[in-house]
Amino acid sequence: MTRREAMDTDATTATPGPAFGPADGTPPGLVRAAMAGDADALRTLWQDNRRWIAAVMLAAKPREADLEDLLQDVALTMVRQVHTIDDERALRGWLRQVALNTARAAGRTTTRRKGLDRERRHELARGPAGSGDAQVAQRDEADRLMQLASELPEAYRECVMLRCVRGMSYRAIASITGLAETTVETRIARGRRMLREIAQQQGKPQHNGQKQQVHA
Amino acid sequence: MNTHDNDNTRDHLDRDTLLTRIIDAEASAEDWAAFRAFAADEPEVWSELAEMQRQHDVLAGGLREAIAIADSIELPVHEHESVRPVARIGAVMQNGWSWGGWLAAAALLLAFTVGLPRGVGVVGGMPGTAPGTQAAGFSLGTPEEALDRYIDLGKQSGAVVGQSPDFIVLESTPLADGGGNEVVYLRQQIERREVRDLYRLGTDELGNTVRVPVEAGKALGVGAKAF
Repeated sequence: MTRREAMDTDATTATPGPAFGPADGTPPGLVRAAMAGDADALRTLWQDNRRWIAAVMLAAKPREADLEDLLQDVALTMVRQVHTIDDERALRGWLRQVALNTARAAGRTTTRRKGLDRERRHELARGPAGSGDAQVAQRDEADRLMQLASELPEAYRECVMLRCVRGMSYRAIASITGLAETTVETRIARGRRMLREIAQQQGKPQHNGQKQQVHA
Repeated sequence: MNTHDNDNTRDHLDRDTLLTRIIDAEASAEDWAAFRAFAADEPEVWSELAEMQRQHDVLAGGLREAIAIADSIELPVHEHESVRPVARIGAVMQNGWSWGGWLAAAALLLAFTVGLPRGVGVVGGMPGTAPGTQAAGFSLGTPEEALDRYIDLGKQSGAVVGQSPDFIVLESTPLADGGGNEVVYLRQQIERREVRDLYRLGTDELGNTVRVPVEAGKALGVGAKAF
């Protein structure tokens, strides 16, 4: 039993993830072509999967590690090692494991800062900053919830964050994590409950942006 | 973290699941009926639903902003072409040469990439190749003759500058009769090439060796590993 499975108290039935195919919008044969080294197929698969890979890494990486650097590492590993997979059904699980390993390894290495240019690109990725109080308050709360979510137990954290990625159904999350759909649902439900409890314990911002401390 | 006692855990789990299904638009008619039954006894569950829905929306918005950087990361597919030959070379080295390692891989990589000077076959110097092989229309009696021929032809064409006078010892084993040593050494030839696409060897943040394009017109430092 893995550490992840050992953390569960719910009924966990690990099932192999479904193969890439029409069910998730991936054209048949694309994965096989990518595994055989087709550059266009590799590129397409990366573009289709990089957002959830980022979410997995965000859930697993240390706070100080740079997500962009880590994603580049995963992209490089995908290019160099994808041919070692012998079953197309294993691709998503393999990508997730690469992402997890890379994110965890980041905790053992020093992350280099790359100056203002990097910061500028991050700012661009975030989109135009809101100028109103409501937008600033919402952004602050989003940052706070992201921070609180990062404190959830790992098994719950990953499922909760993956569900926030557009298009990530319970089934899609199950295919990535190798969990049963019912387990994914339970983890999301429990994770959200925990997140709400943590948020209540640590206080939540009111509409005017002030924090109200709640005592248990 | 969970403040509920064991007797209430099951109820809360069911309620949490229902809330999650509603938030995720996965609730069936039966789920809604069960939720309304909860709400009839505990009307505050409606505000709980509203709060959890709002929390999910805010978290999802924050996460989407955070991972948007992924859209700017493209796959370095140019790496792909350089990977497979190296992998093949690695397999050959494991089967053939005991001390091959990075050194032999580097030598073969050069042969794959820039080729050897015209008129010179790779004979005599490779393990398992018998001396006296006929290559390129002339006889090569010994590896030394082949090497001398390579240097001569290379100097004529300008592809070979010369041979380094220093031999680097890789391994030394005393002979059985005690009268000397068997020495495995590195002999270096100095060559010249005009290269349009030059790469230097670098290391990524995970310690993997990667090739990095050298900017056109920019000189490499002495001792740089390149191919």
